[in-house]
Amino acid sequence: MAITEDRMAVHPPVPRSTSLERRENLTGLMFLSPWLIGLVVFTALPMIASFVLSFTNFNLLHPATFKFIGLDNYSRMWSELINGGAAGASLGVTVRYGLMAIPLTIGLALGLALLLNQKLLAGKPVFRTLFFMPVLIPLVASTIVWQGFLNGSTGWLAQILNAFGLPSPDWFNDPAWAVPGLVLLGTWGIGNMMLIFLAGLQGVPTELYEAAKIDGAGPLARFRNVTLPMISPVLFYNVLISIIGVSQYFTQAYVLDPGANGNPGGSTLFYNLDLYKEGWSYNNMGYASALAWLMLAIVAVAALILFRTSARWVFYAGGER
Amino acid sequence: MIRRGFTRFAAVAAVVALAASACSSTATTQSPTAGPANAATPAPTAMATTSPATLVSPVAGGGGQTMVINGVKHVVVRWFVGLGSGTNPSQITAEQKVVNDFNAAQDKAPTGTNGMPIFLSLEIVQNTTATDILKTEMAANNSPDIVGPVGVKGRAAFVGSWADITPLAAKAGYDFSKYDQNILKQLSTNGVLDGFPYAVYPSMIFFNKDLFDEAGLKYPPQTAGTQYVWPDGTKSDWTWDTVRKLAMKLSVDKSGKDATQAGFDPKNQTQFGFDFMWSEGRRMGSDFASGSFVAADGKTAQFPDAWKAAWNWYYNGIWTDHFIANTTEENSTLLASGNPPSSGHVAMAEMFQWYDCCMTASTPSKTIQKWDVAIQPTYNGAMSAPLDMDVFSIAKASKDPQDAFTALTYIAARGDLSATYGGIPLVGSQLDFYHQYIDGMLKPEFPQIYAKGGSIDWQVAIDMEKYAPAIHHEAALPNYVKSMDDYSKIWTTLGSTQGLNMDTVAQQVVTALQADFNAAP
Repeated sequence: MAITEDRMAVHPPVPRSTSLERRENLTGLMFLSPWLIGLVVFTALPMIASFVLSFTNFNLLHPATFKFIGLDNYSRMWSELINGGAAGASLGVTVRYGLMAIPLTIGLALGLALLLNQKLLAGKPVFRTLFFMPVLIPLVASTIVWQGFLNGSTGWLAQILNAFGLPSPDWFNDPAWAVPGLVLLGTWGIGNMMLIFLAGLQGVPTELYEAAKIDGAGPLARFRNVTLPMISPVLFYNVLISIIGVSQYFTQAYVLDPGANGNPGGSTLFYNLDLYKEGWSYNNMGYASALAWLMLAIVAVAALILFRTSARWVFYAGGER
Repeated sequence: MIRRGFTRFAAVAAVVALAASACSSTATTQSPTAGPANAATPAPTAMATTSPATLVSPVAGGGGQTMVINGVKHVVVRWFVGLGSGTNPSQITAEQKVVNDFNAAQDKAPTGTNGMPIFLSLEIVQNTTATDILKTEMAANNSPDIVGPVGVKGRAAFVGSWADITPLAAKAGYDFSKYDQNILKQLSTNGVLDGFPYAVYPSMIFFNKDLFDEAGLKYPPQTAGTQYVWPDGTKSDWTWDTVRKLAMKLSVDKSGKDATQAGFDPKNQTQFGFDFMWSEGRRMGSDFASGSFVAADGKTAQFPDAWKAAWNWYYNGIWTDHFIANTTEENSTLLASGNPPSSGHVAMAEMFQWYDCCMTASTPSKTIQKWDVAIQPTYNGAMSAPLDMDVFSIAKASKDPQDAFTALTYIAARGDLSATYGGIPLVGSQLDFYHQYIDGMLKPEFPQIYAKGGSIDWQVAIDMEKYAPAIHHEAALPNYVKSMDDYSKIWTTLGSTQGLNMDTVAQQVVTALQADFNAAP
């Protein structure tokens, strides 16, 4: 008897839901159902389909030749990765871009947010709007504008550099400069990230800065020991989102080279461009599906590493993750 | 209680509305075979109500299906437009008119195979996404019946997907003997005629008269066999080498020196003698002589000698003789950001006839007042004028190819439609429409050309048709898209990289292509 009572104390019986609660749940689910149906039909099912297709030779133009080919697509992908084939080269371009773009955009966005968080800065709303505005411009339009801006002959940047007697790189026509050019283009859209940082900065209690000042901390020490730890969850979020963004990079490179050949000289053949090319130009939808799953795996591993290491550098003031 | 009932009703209504809007493409779409007996003739839905990629939605599903219109059963033939020309607003209007006229005529005198009227359903999609959309439709067993107009390259991306036209024409009693047999040969794949000839766009030299006048130079010749006359009266055969010399005289730097003079500064060039716009390696080769990257055995990669000469001519024109802009200069604002011939800073440009669309009287930097067209130069005594083609095809997956052919012959016979595409119609009787349309389009913009009864000499374009290379410059290659990608990657380096060894370049092309040919499915 005593044992039964103890058990009931630990696991109290779940009260049966009333008909009112059931009806309310049903209504809630109904409101959610467009999203749920969309998730299943447009995301989950295509994901499952692409996973299945990755083990087939599915060709868009010749669907009748469809057959399961086991791990052939993955074996081809592995061979391209280790022999510097299109998959390996495009992954290299994407990683190279990510290594340049992520630190630069995060640094710039944080820098701008710190500037906009200064008490002495006048006209903050104006600057905030100005820095955010490029986010509202469609990517295709901004890429075309940047193409003109970075033209090595008549682009504004070239003319400014030439006015100071400096040579101008031939950004999008030089394989060595094309990816840095795209990184530069990427800084154009940091307004969103900057706003997130700004929100994080505004949430840091001022008492912490005052206490640090009393303890003799200078501006750099305050930034390192107060600001950074306090905004580390925001930093974590922005790094994660940036990694996902790099893994999805496509539009700008495609606008610059609609043939998706990664011109000049394959230097802008991003992973997704290669994937698109395999699927839609060469009709190898099975192989393209395998490529897509590799990217998902890479992003998942990167995210896992980020989450695993976050305990060491992300500080949650509330103590909860 | 009432509020709860309302909430639930609202939820259900929202779900139904969302699902309905997601599932229906347009409000006027009718389900094939199940249309109401007295429904009005459905009209194609234009831009405003369709997705950005779709300009005009088809009113019914796949071809071969039937639908009831005004109580009469019709067989549906779907016409897909977007792979090539046909997506400009004026062209869409013309296409819709052709479709409406055809459908109206079918209601009066049906010509379907079973005596049933054919209902022509128009689907127009943006050119940029047309290939992807068509591939998806074909893979989903939802293929359109008629596809076109489309160029040779656009068709080649779907090699194996087009129906043999010959038996359809034979059954319909359609006569192909009125067409140039060379053109028919170019529309055949492995000896099978799988394209319906429609219009051609020969290449020729567009030239800016003002820049020639300014330099005191005579205009290029406009009839085959005519020599070029230099200012001192001497004459030269109209060869690619003559073009090189002439173009150098028309290439000018900031200080006014031309490219033949000492002290010419190519880094500060303000005018170029020649442009090869939207340059393409096989086209450049075919400008010199007919050829192919694949040998007669259909599997060995090769680089014809005449094509090597052509690539060398082009490369030296950029980096040694400085009469062609490099890629950076081509994309600069000086040359209208990638549209050099219309910039007013280029004296001559080798282009297809459809470029008439893009000659414009004013760019931000300079105004073109007068321009005209000249014949192609010769190489080793022979002229070669690659041509672009507008072709119609019938999908192999069409469920009703014979009715599709019937509809196609109607479309092809409409001169008013072919004129809006801008090509030279292959049926001579349509030339009047063509002249009317082209001159009507250019006259308001170039009054100086048309003053005192003047005109662009379009006879040049018609003459150039005879000099089409035997092998089309976009003809099929094994592993077509991959092969084209690979040689194009090498070709594009010519415009951006100085100091290339052209023998090495040719070898790179052959090596890359052989690998692609070997991997051909």
